[in-house]
Amino acid sequence: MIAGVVPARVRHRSRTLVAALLVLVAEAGHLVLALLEWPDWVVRGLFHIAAAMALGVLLASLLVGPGRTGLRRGLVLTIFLPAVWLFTRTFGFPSVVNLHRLPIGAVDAATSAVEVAVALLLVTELLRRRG
Amino acid sequence: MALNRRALLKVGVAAVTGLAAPIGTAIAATRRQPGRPPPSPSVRPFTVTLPIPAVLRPASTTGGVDRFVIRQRPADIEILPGLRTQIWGYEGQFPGPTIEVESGRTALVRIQNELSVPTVTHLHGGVTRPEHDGYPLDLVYPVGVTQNSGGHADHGVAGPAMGSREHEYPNVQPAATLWYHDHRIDFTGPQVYRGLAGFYLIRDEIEDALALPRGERELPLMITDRTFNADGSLFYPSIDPDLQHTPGVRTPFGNGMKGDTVLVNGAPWPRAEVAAVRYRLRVLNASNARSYRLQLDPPPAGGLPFALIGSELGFLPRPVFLDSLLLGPAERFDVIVDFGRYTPGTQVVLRNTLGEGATAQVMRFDVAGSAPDESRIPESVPVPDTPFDEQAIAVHRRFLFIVGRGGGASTINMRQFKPDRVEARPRIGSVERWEFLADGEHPIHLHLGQFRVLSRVGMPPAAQDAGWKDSVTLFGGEIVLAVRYGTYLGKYVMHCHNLEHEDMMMMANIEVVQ
Repeated sequence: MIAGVVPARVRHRSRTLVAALLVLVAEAGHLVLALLEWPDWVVRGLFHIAAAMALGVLLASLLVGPGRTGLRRGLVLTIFLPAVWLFTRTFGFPSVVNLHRLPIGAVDAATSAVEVAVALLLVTELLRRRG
Repeated sequence: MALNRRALLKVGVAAVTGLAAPIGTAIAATRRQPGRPPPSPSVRPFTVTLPIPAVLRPASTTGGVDRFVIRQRPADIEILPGLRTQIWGYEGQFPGPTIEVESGRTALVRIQNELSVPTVTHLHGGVTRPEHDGYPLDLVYPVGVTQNSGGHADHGVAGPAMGSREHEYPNVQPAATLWYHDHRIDFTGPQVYRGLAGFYLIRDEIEDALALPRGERELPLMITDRTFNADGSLFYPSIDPDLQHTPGVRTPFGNGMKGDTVLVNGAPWPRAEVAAVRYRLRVLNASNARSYRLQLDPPPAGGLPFALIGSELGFLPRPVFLDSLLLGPAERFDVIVDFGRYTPGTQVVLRNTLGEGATAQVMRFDVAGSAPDESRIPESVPVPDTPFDEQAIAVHRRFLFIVGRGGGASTINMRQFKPDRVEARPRIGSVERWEFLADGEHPIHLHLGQFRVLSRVGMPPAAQDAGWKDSVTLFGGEIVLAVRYGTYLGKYVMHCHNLEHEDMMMMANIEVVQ
């Protein structure tokens, strides 16, 4: 091994570990949001709990080295969650008869940004494995 | 072996991050109740004397016109004994000063906005041209502010004004108990809650000719409910406490902000010393969302303590005798109570049988000694009325009121308020049959429109529904009204007077056409 050059296997492993760390951050974000929103909006609180559960499973998968299927599922999840955030901040959250646009908060915006970063890492990893 | 270790790691991490942490958070979340307001500082009921709002003196009375100037400004006042409360008030008072006018004599009322937010002033029950009615988008910006509120001020009737607006009230209507209050689009609830409301009394010759209780024996009673923080400040669950941009309240309060402290004329559970004679009470429920069923405890011998002599828009032809008064937000009743039916020394509590705990009582009348009393409950009043033939009503309309759940918008006919959409176009002077259907409690108010109740849930109207009204409360179910829009053409609003419902878009445009 040439000094200063990181082996490809280690580099790729680092990518999934960074993704796992970011997933942990995103999960923490959803748990905070669940705590904040549950008392006012149970449905939104439940959504964040469900999101945290899915991210928790993804985190476990990334830690042990996921297969392509696991990566794809993680990618779907980390695209879906920011997409929901974007929809509810542009069009609104569905209520009985219409949509109620939600305000942009620091925690939800940061959580979505982290999820986008995870999605990019997972895409990169999937492309590497394809190549 | 490595595979087993990996599998164990995966299952272990998944169990912690995928199950334990989220479920633990969910359990913790269910135990949080930030939506519950703090209990207000306790006040011993019936220790504060009932205040009577001052009558505003006109700035001038020349040319057959009374001119008034009112400043909307913040003030630091004592509501709860020993504590200071920051309010927004007309002339810095809560309630605002009472405006008294003569029927048929025009009043010009200039409202100056010295607050930090736009305002709109609506004369509730007034027959006014649309540009003077206080359409919710006719914002009056504080002096020096030029931006509009949310970009929809352009859809107003009179357009925005900077610093002040002069309202022309022609008072082409009979003697009645009206009130004026804030009506800013999206923010009416918090702005009325902070104190922007006052009485507007129209008097006429018919009233003068009646031997009604007068002077100190005529008591305007503005009933409101508020919750206070420990330091005496008002508690209101606004999403945007500065009332600048984001309207609405936190979700647990979406069905209306109900306070735990009942105020009459701005005083908590006050007491009034009354002589053992007749008193005229002009009762107004100016609460954001709370309804009251008022009863006197003890009742006088023989019962039926309330002689209802006037509805919201004027005198009744004959009095109606009632055991209790059911008032939704914005409703008014003009009643005579004869305290001469009580033994001097009796303490008569005005109770709210819809309330619980502290909100089950409103105020107390302490009956003092007897005194000369030349007043009478009028057996009949020669009120001018426009009869209508119920069978001849040709236009029927139906309106469905549904409250928004979970923070969503409230609706009329499944549509939320849009400034540029008109829900109905009644012809001027005609009488129409309107049916209101509601999913729960909704006090409905028509601007300019006047109505009589024809039926409630298929039954004849209640005794207290007598006379022409501008506001009526549905407790779910259905109510049928005969509605007429007279005098002026143009765009007005109809809305729920649960002010949190109103701010969440339970409002519609009604355009009066030729």
